[in-house]
Amino acid sequence: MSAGEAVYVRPRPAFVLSDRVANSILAAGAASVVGLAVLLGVVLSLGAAPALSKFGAGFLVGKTWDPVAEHFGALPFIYGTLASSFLALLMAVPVGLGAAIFLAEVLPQWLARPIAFMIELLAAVPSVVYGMWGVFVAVPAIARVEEFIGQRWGHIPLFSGPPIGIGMLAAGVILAIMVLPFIASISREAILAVPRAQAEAALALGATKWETIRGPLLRYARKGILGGIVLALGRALGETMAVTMVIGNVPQISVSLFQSGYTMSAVLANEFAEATGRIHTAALVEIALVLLVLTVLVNAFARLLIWGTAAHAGEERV
Amino acid sequence: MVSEAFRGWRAGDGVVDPAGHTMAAEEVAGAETDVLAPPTDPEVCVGFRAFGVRYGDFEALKEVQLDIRRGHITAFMGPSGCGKSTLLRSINRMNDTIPSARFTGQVYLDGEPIYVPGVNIIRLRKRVGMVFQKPNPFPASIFENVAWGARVHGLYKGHALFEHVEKCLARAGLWDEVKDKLKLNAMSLSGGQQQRLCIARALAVEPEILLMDEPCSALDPIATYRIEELMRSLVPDYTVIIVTHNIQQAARVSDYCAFFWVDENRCGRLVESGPTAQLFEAPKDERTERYLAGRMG
Ligand SMILES: Nc1ncnc2c1ncn2[C@@H]1O[C@H](COP(=O)(O)OP(=O)(O)OP(=O)(O)O)[C@@H](O)[C@H]1O
Ligand SMILES: [Mg+2]
Repeated sequence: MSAGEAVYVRPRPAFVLSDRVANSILAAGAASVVGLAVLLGVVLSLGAAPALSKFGAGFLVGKTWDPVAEHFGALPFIYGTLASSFLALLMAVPVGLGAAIFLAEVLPQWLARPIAFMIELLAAVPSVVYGMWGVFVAVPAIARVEEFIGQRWGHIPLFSGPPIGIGMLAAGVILAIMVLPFIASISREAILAVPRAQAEAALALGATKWETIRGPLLRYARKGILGGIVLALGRALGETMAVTMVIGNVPQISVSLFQSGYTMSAVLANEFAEATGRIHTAALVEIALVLLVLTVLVNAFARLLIWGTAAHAGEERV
Repeated sequence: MVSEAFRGWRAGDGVVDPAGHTMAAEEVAGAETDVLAPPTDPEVCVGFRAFGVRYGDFEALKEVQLDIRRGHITAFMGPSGCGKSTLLRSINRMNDTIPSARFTGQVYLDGEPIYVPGVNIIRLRKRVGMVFQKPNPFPASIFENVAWGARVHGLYKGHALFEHVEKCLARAGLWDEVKDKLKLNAMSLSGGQQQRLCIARALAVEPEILLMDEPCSALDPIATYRIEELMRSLVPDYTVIIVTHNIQQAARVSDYCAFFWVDENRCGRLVESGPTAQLFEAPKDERTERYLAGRMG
C-alpha cells in the first residue's frame, strides 16, 4: 500500500488585473449577443400571442390565409420558403462547386483571383437589383423555357400550369444566382486551403488530377464547402425583396414549378404595413417567429451535420 | 585541386558497375562521347543521363550521371539545397507539378526514357511510389487510405481488395496495430504509424520503386528504427531510394550512396557515388570525407 491517496487539485489561475478586465468586457459582449437573441424571441412571442392562442398548432398546418375572414394558416408560406430555398440550392450547389473547383484547380491563379474577386462582389449587390433583373430579364426567359417544357411534358404535375415566367421556378433561379457567390467563393477558399501534401500524395499514387480533386481534395475541403452551403441556405431562407418580385405572391401549395407561390419573408414585407386587424398583425408576427425558429433549426442542423462528419471522421481532436 | 574537383562532376564518374565498384570516368568507354546513352546493364533500374533541372532561371541541379541498382537501397546525401529532393522527384516526374521546372538530359527507367513526349505519367507514378517527409495520410479511414490508390487503378474489388489492404498493411508492419480499427480516421494515428500507413498506401498500387524523401525526419528514434527495419524488408522486392540528412541512417540502411554538393552558383552536383561501405571508408572526394566526418561527430 502506498502512503495514502494522492489528492489532485486544480491550480488557482494567477490573478492578472488586465486579463480580468478584458475577460469581463468580452463576457459582456458575448452576453449581450445572447441577450439580444433571447429578447428577439420574447418580443416576437409576445406580439404573436393573440394568434398563438387563437390558432394554436393549427397555424402551422393551416392552408388558408384570409385577412378578411381573419383566418390564418402559415403552411403555404412555410412551403414556399422551403421549396424556393431547396430549389435554389439544387441549382446553385453543383454550379457553385464546379466554379470553385475550376477557379481553384484548373485556371491559373493570376486569372482565377480577379474572377473570384468579381464573384465575391456579386454577393454585395443589393437584392432589389437582383429582383429587377429577375423581372426584366430572367422572368421572360424563364417564360419561354416554361412554354417549351409545358408543350412537351405539361402533363407531368411538376411542369403543369401557365408558362408566365413568374412563379416558384423564377424564385428558385433568382435565389440560386444570389447564393451562388457564397458557395463558389467559400468552396474555392476551402479547396485552396487543402495542404499541397494531400494533392501530392494522390498524384504520386498515379491518380489523375480529376481523381485527386474528386477524392482527397474535396474530402479534405468538405467541411468548408458545407459551411458555404449553410451560409447560402441561410441567405436563401431569409431573402425577401428579390423573391417577392418574382414568385407571384399567391398563398398556395402546388407541386408545379410553374405555379406562383409565396414565402414567409415576402408576406411580411407585403402585408405588415397594411395590416389593420389585431389578429392579422399577430399572425404576421407569428410568421416572423416561425421564420426565426426555422432559420435557427436549419443552422443548428447544419452545425450538427458538420460536427457529425468531423466526429465520424475523428479528425477534430480538441 | 581544381581539376580534382572537376573530375567528380564529370560525366560517367557516378556509374556503378555490376560488381559494385565505381568506375573512373576514363574507364567508361564512350561515356564522354555519349552521355545520353541508356544504361545497358539490366541490373540498373534508374539511370540519370546528363540530367539537370532548372526552376525558372535558377539552375538547381546539373550534369547528373548516375545509375541506381535494382533491388537495393540507395541513399542520396548532401547539404541542404543541393537538389536531392529535386532529383528524387524527377524519377516519378512529381516536379512536373511545379510550373517553373525545366529539364535537360534524360532519366531511364528500366532502359526506357521517361522525359519524352507521350510518356504515360499515370503509369509511371504507379510504378514509382513515393513517401514524403511529413506523413500525409488522407483524412479518411485507415482502410480507405490504403484502398484508395488500388481502387483508382482498378486493381482489386470487394474481398480481394480487403485482402490486398491487409497484405500492404502487414508489409508495412502496421497490420497488428490497426487490424481492429481499420475504420478509424488515419489522422488519429501516431506520426510513426502514419508514416508506415503512407508506405502501405504507396505499396498498395504495386510499385517497383519506392522513393522516400527524408521519411524519418519528423519521427522519434524508435519510430525511425521501425521504418528503417521496414525499408530493409522491402529489398530486394523493391528498389528503394531514400534522401536522408542522417549519415548514420544512410550507413545503416543503404547499399549504395550518392553524395551531392552545391557549386559556387548554388547549383547541385553529384560528387561521387558507390557502395555505401566503400563511400564511407574511402571517400574519393575531400568534400565527401569532410561531410561524413563532420556529421559523424
Ligand atoms: N519549387 C521551387 N521553385 C524554385 N526553386 C526551388 C523549388 N524547389 C526547390 N528549389 C530550389 O532548388 C534547390 C534544390 O532544392 P531541393 O529541395 O531539391 O534540395 P534538397 O537537397 O532536397 O534540400 P533539403 O536537404 O533542404 O531538402 C534549392 O536551392 C531550392 O531553393
Ligand atoms: Mg529535400
